[in-house]
Formats: sequence, structure tokens, C-alpha cells
Amino acid sequence: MSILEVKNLKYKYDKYDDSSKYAIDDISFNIDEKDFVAIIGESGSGKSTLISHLNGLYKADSGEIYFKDKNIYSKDFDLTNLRFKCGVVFQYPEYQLFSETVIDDVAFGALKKGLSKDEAYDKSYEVLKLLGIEHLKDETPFNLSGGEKRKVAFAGVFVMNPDILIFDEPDAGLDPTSKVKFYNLIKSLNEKFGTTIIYITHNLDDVIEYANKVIVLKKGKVIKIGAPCDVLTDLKVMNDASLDMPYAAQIYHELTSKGYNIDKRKLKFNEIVESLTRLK
Amino acid sequence: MIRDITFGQYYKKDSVIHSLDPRVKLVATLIFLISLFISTNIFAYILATFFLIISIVLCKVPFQYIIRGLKSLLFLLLISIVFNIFLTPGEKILIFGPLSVTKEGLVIAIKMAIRLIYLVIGSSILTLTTTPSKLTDGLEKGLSFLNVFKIPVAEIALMMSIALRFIPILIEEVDKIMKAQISRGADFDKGNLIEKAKSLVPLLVPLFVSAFRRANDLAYAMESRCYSNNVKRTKLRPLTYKRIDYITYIILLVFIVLIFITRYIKIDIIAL
Repeated sequence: MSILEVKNLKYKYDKYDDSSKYAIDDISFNIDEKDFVAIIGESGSGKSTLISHLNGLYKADSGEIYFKDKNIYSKDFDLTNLRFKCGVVFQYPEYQLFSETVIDDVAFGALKKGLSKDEAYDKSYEVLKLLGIEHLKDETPFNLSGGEKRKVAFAGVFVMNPDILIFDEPDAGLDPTSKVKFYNLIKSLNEKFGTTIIYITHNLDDVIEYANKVIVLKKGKVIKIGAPCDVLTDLKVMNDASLDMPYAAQIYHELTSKGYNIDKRKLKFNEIVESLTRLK
Repeated sequence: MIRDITFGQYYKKDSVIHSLDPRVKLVATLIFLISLFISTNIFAYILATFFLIISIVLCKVPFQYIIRGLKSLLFLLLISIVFNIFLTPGEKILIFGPLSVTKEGLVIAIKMAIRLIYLVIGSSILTLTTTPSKLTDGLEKGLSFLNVFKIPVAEIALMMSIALRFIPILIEEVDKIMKAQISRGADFDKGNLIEKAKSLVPLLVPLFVSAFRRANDLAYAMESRCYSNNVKRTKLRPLTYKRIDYITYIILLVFIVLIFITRYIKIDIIAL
């Protein structure tokens, strides 16, 4: 069932200049419940602008967005409620942190959502514990490391219990171990609780590993939507988007060009190791 | 709302005004501001309006974009108009209980409003058409005669340029912080004035943190590129006047002379 539907969305920053280009140029796509969607594209392709539309922060110049079949631009639509249901973790966590302590900051969204103070703080502590940063609860968020700030910013959104979690480059600033832990966490949220995940990334190997759908943007337009194994192995799409193929896709192409039979739908790390072992 | 502030922002366009030497634009802005404050009658205001319209047309920056900056000035404008209308003594033309509108008050209010609006638009055109680095170069070169009095012109110009450059950056940061907080349920439009003011407090903390971090980073970057205030630096692109710059100076001279002449035209502005 579709949770988010984007129809013919158009948006440009400089509305005063007719010759200025659209940052989002006639984009349409559909996201189903429990989808794990990666948005990829070179810098300036409109990825961050697009996700700022999904929870109603930006109002499109034309086009519609439907959240659970309701047009978010209709007059009777409750945008504040949408923002609780559709949590966005921004690229720079420091913009999201503003309270004196980590726990105050995490509790902000829960309090705004209407939870009592005790409930909000209990839930915030639970979330901090889930992310393994409960020891930071009384720290000031501004003194934390980049990775810790990112986790606190995530906790602040996660505490609102959203149906959709949107991340703008969630792995930036995370060390490799934290990155794997983080992706495993959101994957488990996706599998156990059915949380829909939408995230922007430049790390295409991880897209193969975690996502079930990928949207490729180029100059504000969608040039391809599909399963990662189909999209990321498509040489033309990758060239058009000025992106490098992930290693798994490169291995697939190398081996198939040499006559080996590799299943394109099985490009995750474990799957490709298995395929290679079979070749031997 | 926050993105409506256009002051200090550069708007890239290929126009005559953009191509002028920054010194010419600085002088033009100064002359325009002086003309506003020495204007005594309607002819001077017509001249200033004409000058402003020509500049707006020539700079090719969309008019709606230029006047966007006026929105943030509305409150100040209203206060100025209300105080002048009601508190200036003179011939009463309308009476509302204890308050009365005077003819003189009305004229002063209109004059003040025009001055304030023209002042903001005029100075906005300078920053909209000049990059901060060019503005610094213009200031530095234009005020270089002050070096004789041991005034550190280059440092002052650099400070001004950094301050100007930071305006759009900080505006953008406030916008980002607001959006991040709106995403977590904050509502900056709800409530009365005090509640609205209170909701802005959480914006200030990250903004200050970010501003200090940026200032610190900038200082490190300058030091790592061997910035020192004791050395004379050369320019990659030294400023040189072109024909259009000299023509503009002549136009400016004619303009200010005309403004002075209007001071001797004996017409009672109130009577008009």
C-alpha cells in the first residue's frame, strides 16, 4: 500500500527569475509502506530539496504529495501531524540540536507531540539506550563528536515514533563500525515495525546491501526508479547520473562479460561471496 | 520570513551596474543617501525616484526580489509613520479623540517613509550587485588615503567584508535551524507576540554555536594561509576604472548638482 505519492512536483528556489532552473523538475514516484528507499544522485541533483518537500517543509510550486492518500497541500491537512509521522534527520545534526542537555533535546519532539513530561523523558531515555548513547543524556549536545551528534539528532526524531524516517546522508561522520550498527538498526526498524525508510546517500554499496528501491536524480529530474540490482547495474543510468557503479555491480559486469553466470538479483555482500564460491 | 532579508546578499546577473567598479557603486550609494537627506521639496524626491528606477532597471535584479527586503522593515516603517503623524504639532486635519493628525505630521511621515524605503532599496542594490570581495577591494582602495593617518583601512575593509558575507550565511543557517525544529513539531507562527518571541530562543543557541564555529574556522583558515595585518598585499585583479565608470561619475555629479539646485526652487511641499 502506498504511503507516499509524489506527483509532478516542481520547485525552484529563485522564483523571481524566470530563467532560473527548477531544483525539482516534474518529479513523480510512489513509496509503499515498509519500503527502504535510497535516493541517489550527484551533488546539486535536488536530493535534499526533494526530502524537504516530503514532510511539507517546502511548498512545491506545482504538483502534489499524498501521504496515506491525503493531499498534504489541501487546506484541511494537518502539517504538524505529518511532521510527527514523517520524521526527517537532516544532513547537519548541529542544526537540529538546541537544548541544554541531550535528553532535553531528544524529548523536544515527544513533548510537542503531546506526551506528558514523564512519558516524554522515559521514552527519550529508552531511545538513547537503544542507540547506545544513554551515558550522554546529561551532556550538552554541542560538545559531542560528529557521530554522537548525529545519533542524538536521530534519537530526537525517532522518539516521535514516525511511520516514515527520512535521512539526509545518515552515514556522514560515522565511523565504519557505527555506520554498520546504524544501518542494522534502521533495517531492523524497517523489518520489525514496518517503518518506511527513505535516505539520501552517496555510498552505493550500502544501497545494494539495505535498500529495496532506489531513486536516481539528475538535475532535479528522476532518471530511474527501481530495485537496486536493476538500477545500479545499468551502465547507461549510472553514466547519465554521473555516478560510479558500486563494487558488487562492477564484479557482476566483469564476470558476466567473461561468460560467468551471476544472478543480478543477488548482489549483496553475502550473496556475491556465495556466487563466487560457487564459481570455484 | 527569514529568507525575505535581502540585505547583504549578492544576486548574480550580467548587467551594467554589476560590471561597474565597486568604488563607483560605493560613491553612488553615498551620493544617493546624501541626496535623500538633503531633499527638501518634491522635485528632489522625483529626481531621487527617477535615479532609483533607472538603477533598478539597469541592475536587472527582479524588482520583487529587491523589495522583498522591505517586508522586514515594515514594523519600523509603521512606528515611524504613526509617531510622525500623531506627534508632530501643526495644522490639524483629522481628530481621533485625544489624537490628531496634522498636515505637517502627514508630510513628515510620508517623507520619512520614502527616505527609509529608498535608503534600504538603494543600499540593497549596492550589495545585490557587488560581491563581498569586490566591495572590500572597493572600500580598501577608495579609503586608502586614510593610511596616511595610520588608519588600518585594509583590516577595516576585510572586517566589513566578512560581516557582509556572513549575513546571508547566517540567514540561511537560521532558516535551516527553523526547518529542523519545525520538523520536530515546533511552530513559529502560533501564539501571541511573547510566545512567538519565546519560540525564537531555541534558535539562538545553535545559531551562536554555529557562528562561533564558523568564525573560529575562518580564523584558522586565514592563519593557515599566512594572513597577517603587517604586510602589504597585492591584488589578483587590481581595480581599474573603465569608460563606463567615468561616465557614471559624471552622471552622479550631475545628479547631486541637480539635487542641490532643487533646494533653491521655492515651492512649499505642503502646498503641493
